[in-house]
Amino acid sequence: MRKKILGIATLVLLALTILSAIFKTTVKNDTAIEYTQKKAVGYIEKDTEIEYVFTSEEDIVGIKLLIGTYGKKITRGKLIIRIYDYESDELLVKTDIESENLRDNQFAYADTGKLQTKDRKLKVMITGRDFFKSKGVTLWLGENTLDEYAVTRIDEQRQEDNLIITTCYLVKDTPYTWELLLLTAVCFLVFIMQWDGGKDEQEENN
Amino acid sequence: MNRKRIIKHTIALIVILLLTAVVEILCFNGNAVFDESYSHKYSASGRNGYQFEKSETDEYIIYSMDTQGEYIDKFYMTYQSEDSFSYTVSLLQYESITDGANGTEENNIIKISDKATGNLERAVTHINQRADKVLVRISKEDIDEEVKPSISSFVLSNSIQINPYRVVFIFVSIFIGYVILFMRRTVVEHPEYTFFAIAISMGTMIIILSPVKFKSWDEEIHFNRAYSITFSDNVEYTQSTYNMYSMNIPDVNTMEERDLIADYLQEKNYEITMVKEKTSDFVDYSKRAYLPQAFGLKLGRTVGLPFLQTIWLGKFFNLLVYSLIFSLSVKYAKFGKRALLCVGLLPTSLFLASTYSYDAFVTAFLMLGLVMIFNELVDRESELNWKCITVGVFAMILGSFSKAVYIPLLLLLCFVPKEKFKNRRQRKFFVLTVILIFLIMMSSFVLPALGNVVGNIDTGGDSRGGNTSVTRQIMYILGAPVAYAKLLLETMGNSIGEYFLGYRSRTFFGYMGGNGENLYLLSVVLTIFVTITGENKIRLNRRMKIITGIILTGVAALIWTALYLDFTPVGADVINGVQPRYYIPLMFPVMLLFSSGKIKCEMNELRYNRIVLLTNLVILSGCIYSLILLPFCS
Repeated sequence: MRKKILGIATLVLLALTILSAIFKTTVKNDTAIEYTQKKAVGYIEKDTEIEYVFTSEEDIVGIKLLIGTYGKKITRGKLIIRIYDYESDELLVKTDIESENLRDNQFAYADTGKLQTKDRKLKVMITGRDFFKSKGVTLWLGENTLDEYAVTRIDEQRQEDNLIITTCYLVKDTPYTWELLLLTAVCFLVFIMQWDGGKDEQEENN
Repeated sequence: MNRKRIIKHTIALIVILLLTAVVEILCFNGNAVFDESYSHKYSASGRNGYQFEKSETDEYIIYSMDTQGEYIDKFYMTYQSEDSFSYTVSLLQYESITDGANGTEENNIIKISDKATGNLERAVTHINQRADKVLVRISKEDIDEEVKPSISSFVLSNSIQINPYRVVFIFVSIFIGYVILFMRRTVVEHPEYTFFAIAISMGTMIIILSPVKFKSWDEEIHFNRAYSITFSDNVEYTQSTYNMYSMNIPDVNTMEERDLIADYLQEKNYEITMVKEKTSDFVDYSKRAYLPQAFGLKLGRTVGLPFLQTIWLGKFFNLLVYSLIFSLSVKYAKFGKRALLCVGLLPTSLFLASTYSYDAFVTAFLMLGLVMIFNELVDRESELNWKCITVGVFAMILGSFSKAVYIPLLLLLCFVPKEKFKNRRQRKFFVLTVILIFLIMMSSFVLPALGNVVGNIDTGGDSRGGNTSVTRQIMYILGAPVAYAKLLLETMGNSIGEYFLGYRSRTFFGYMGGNGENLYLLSVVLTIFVTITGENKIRLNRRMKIITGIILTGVAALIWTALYLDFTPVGADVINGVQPRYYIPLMFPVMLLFSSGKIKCEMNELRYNRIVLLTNLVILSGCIYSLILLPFCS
């Protein structure tokens, strides 16, 4: 009986392993960048416009910006982010980052939904709204390896450094396949220990 | 338990309590009991006490106090300063001074340096000396001229002061000693219970007595990993958690300062100051060893324990899993129980179990796996014990999740005696499946590295090691295999003695240092004694010893190679980063290799076990006292 249960369990686990390898799970990944912070863009005021032009290597689902808050906790206001197709100037998405997600020297995430942006040149426009004057928000500039030909403009003035920004994209992954394979192998080992090795062989031994 | 026994143990408990009180008062407060007990306050005005004098030179701000030859136990300084600063307490003894009382003759002054932490407002220094005059020097080099620390008062004291940490430590040590000496049945029939009692009590002492700032190897990184697991969504850091993770905690050396730090951290533990996005809820296989610690942290936070106690609870669950799994190994071992006791109670091993790390989890599960496998290897008569092997395989896999380099130990199963199988076909499938499990486990770290080499992707390496790259290092080894093999064998050969028998794998407590003298020697003597006399009945045969030796060498080679790939600059002619503690999981099988049964010990089992357990207790207590209690919690 135990042998039967173990045999069935091994087969079920094997089937699950194969299924998990076929039907992959989608996970969100950040584009790996190397960056050095150099300076901040200064307080983002009502009419400040920050523009970042780059070519996306993936279909993105979000972007991340390195925020500065001058050590203060932001309690009001938000950053508004618009992403345009650079060639056609078509607005692809408008999204925002609320004040509670803006923390000093940390990346803040803006969800853009899935955008077909692979190999497309994009323009990211960032503006601020409703921040207290005493509790301002800024963005970090510096060296960023996201796209070496990227251009950053603040109020239409081109900057020597680039925004420290990265993109997020979805990847297919099989996080459970390895574990399931391992479990199948162990289950099979236990099954082998219950197994009599086949009749013929047993008789031969006798 | 009958009434007589209950009365006996109750009386013993009372005697131990009294003994603890006597030791604490007479040994540690003897000067206050037999000498004059006092507490003198010194301020600039001298109101409600004595007056100190303040002077300044180009280099120092100096405060001086007349103490008239009194014995000083502790020195307290009350101050206002945002920044931390160093100070030196100089104790002048007139009878030995030849050049007046200005203290310029350094040979005649006892100097004790210490640090005052910014915003803590109180610094304490353990003095334990007599002095006629006390000078406190604050170096101007250390402080900002515009925001000098403002000292309001000093207190010099020699009063009876009960140190609760020390009291608990003395009580626990004596009590465990009593258990070993007077509970015969536990020591002989159930050494696993005694092991559990020693491990859990001494480990708890390490947790409670250790400084608030992490002192184990990369402990802040391990803490952060365990802490991250406790959140399902974004990881939220309070200021205190962030301070712990970023090691922004001052080093303090007295119990009063410890309590001040604990209060400060508690104060800063209410507001979330940083949030980190978590990409997945899935606990990666390499991080599963942190699950007990994460559970402790989560439990502490859920029931609302104070910050420091929550940190302790995370460590405690690591210790609990270590002690339980190791006790099971001792219980089920058909041979080598004493060797297991010695390895499990090694101060370094227990220290790792009492901190944030995955080493203890790895060691405990590998030991359980090895015990189950060795049980099958030596027992040629009975049939294959499927329960024993299944537990062994699972334990090996769990233990190797975080350090897959140990998984070759699983290959010992390929050498289970053929008599135990029903026929050849069963044996063949069994061996093939074991090899399959081994390959699956190895693939976790070999495949990604090889994939990068094939794809020519320059990745991996640890920036702490310098110019490192796993891909380029593999290319280098493939280009010069003979040179690497020579380097590997030479390095392994040169380090084997130090790594197995050296104090850094035995009596070493991370950044708190180690004991390389008496306690270390005692530990080595005990290990050798147990190895050569411990096993009279069941042993590994010569064939199994050779196979085990080859597999152990393979594991050691994998350890060194892993660090050569990950932590050593490309093409270097040394291997960096391998620490003696990585050999701890190999100590038990190595002890079995050298056990020959030729030297017989006629001592009865009770006395033998008592000697082994008591010696381990002495080594552990000694290390905890000299490396933690005395320098950090007096």
